[in-house]
Amino acid sequence: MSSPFFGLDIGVSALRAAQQQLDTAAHNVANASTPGYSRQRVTLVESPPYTYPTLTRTGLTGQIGTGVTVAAITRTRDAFLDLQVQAQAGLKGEWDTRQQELAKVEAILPEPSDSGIGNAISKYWSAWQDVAADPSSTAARSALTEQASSLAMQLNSASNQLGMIATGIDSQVGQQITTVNSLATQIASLNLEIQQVSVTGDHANDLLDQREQLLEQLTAIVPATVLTQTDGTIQVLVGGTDLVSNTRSRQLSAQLDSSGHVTPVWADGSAVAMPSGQLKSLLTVRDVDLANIRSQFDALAKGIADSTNALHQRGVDANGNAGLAFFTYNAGNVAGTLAVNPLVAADPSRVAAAASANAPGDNSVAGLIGDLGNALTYSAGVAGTNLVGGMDLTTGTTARLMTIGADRAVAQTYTLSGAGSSLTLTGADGSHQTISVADMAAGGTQTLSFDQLGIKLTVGAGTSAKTGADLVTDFTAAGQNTVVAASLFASPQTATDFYGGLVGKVGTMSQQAQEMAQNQQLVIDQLNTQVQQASGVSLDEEATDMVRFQHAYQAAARVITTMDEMLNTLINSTGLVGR
Amino acid sequence: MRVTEQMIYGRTNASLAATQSALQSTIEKVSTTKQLNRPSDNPGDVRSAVGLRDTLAQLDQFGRNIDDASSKVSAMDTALASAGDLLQRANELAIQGANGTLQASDRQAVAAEVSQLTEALAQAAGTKVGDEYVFSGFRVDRAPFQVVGSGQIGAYQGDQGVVVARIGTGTTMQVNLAGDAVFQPAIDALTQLQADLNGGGPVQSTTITQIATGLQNLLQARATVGARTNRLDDAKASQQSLVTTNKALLSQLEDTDMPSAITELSQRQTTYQASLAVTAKVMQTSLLDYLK
Repeated sequence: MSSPFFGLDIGVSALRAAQQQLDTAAHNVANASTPGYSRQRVTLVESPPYTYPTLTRTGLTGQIGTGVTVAAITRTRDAFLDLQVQAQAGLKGEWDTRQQELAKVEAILPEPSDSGIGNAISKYWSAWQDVAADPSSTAARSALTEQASSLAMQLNSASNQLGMIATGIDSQVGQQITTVNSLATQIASLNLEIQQVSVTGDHANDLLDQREQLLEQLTAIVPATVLTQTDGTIQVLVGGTDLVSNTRSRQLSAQLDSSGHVTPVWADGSAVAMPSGQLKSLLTVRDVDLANIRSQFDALAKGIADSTNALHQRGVDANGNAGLAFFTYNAGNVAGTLAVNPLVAADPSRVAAAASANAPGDNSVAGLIGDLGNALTYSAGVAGTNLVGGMDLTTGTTARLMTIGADRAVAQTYTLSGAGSSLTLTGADGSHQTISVADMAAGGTQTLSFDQLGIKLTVGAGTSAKTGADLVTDFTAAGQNTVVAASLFASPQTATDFYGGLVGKVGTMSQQAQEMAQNQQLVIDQLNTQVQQASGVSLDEEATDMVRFQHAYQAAARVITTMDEMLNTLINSTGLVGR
Repeated sequence: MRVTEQMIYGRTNASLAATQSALQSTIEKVSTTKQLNRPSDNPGDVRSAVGLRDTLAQLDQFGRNIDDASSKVSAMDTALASAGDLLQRANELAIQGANGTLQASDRQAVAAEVSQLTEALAQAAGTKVGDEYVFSGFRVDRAPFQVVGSGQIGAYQGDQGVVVARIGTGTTMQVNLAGDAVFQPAIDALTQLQADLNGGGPVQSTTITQIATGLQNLLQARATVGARTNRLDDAKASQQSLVTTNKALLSQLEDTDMPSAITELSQRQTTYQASLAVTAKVMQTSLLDYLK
């Protein structure tokens, strides 16, 4: 027979269990909107039963229940979903970042509009036609230099803005490196705390939630492989290298690459391998896309400037002087430095609209430059003929060569020489270009760049190229060194087509990034729903539980009251006979 | 399925954001009246629009070139008409001067009138449009013929420069005429006429033939100019119809189709309001409202 006080102990265990359950419900309600929180549950088990040793007596049970024990407080979490969230967070981060950065690039190309670069290009060619319609008018010439300056400034500004976006990305990369380092440190210190809890056999519910939250933030920036160890710590690998291992973390550092951009590297200077994530996206936009778009702007500016210059330098200005280069630029940064030649901008009479001197009504060159708006190619001369004076191929003592008159951008005479398997073009200033004979098959063409003049020399059909010396003979033979048209752009297209292609390309990239970011948002939303479904706190559920646990608590209290009354009867009202 | 508050809030937020962003894009289309507001709206169409806008700018320029050429050609036509009249008058005077019965003093009077006619002819050749002489070739800064003495005209001051106007894609047209080819025979004829009259004798029949040739020459030039006027008129008509066609094409690409956009707008507004209403309803209730 058990002690009459035994029931009180059972009641107390029930009170404690109900109390713990209510506390856990309170914790759940308190954290209902805490990001990353997983709802917690109290696991109850029956206390070990008390075995009454005298089973031979009838009327007594063998195993006597001893109440309830709180076995554990666990969290409800689906580890597989966590892995998926980590994987998708990287993709979402990647496309979100790409979309944001490309939207900035799109803002530089506000097309279709009446104020974009496309419009400036059209107006520029038109201004030349206006000069052609009225070549003796100073007003038309001034309008032309203004319009050309405006086009140049728009291209400068586009190029500068692209540079600013790249600089903005540099600072973002720096920030993200700091964030990754801070996250790594925090995860490592959580590892330590979790390890200490785990060795005692307890569940570090809240610490685990926090760690998963940090991991989600980390994987959005850099994709990471996460390995869980038996002691509860996790190992985080970025590109195969430990970022966090046990309770230690490694740091990334920011390094300037050869073009002066901020790049993440490990402490030993080795590159960080990243297949996706925000950081990778920033680097791709900056190093691939922006660089590409910038070079396209450079090609656009160069195409317009070189073709204009080639024709302009063939012309004669209103004072009877040979045309200067109309545009100037720095070859390393064409779009950023394009400008109307300051000499021409200061004095519109130096616009070389004419092909001959003392002919104020001569509009031939202005007309030809205006035609470039529709042209795929241009030529600084026509098939070896002396079209409009100035530049022509003349027979020199060593070779038939191009001589460029005084007051031109390049005032020098070139000589051709051939030796072995190469052909060399040497300027009077000693600068030279060498062409390999292998590049000059019979009937082939080869561009010889005379500064910005864009001229090709061709070897006549049927001429077999043997040695450099043979080529000199070929070039110097009459009728062989013809000037042929050069393309404005690498693939034959007009300036507007080229620009339209650039706009279309940026638009397509931005559109794709928007769509992908949207899709990825849907995937993340869906995963979050699934995580919430498993781990989220339902207030209705907690309210029901609270009612349930409250009742349990009340019942347990009632048990104790009952026991109390029983004992009261036993102690105070029993054995009063004979008093 | 287990549903938690966070799920409801998350989904509600996501769907409200989606509805709002759809509504926003329709509002943008309606308020800007453009369906292409940035390259990513439709990269292919934006690319075509950039091309079409350039085509329209070129057509606009061709229109101005045609107008400019027309004003020059029409000034030339006027000059040639008045030059023709002058030669007609000179022809009458020559026939009068060929009559041997004419008194010497009368002949002097006729000679004086011919001298005036000659100078007037040089003036007609010196027609200007703006600041440019149209019969001087490229030497638009100099009158083609200058009066060097009473009835005396100097040598042609212009050159043979051909001023070309661009009146369509790849289509050019010569605008000017070199003054020496047009006016020199007429001037020579009148100079000869003056010499005949001042020489005292009757005007020779060869001089009359020379005047007829000069007139013929002017008429021919006028026919050329007339043909150019027609060509410019045709070019203008075709330019205008191309402008209309291209503007329609551009509008199709760029402009919002208003009726369908406004219908879409009211649909999306309704959807948005419905989402708001549903959200407000769902968020109000919880079990706690019923537990007393």
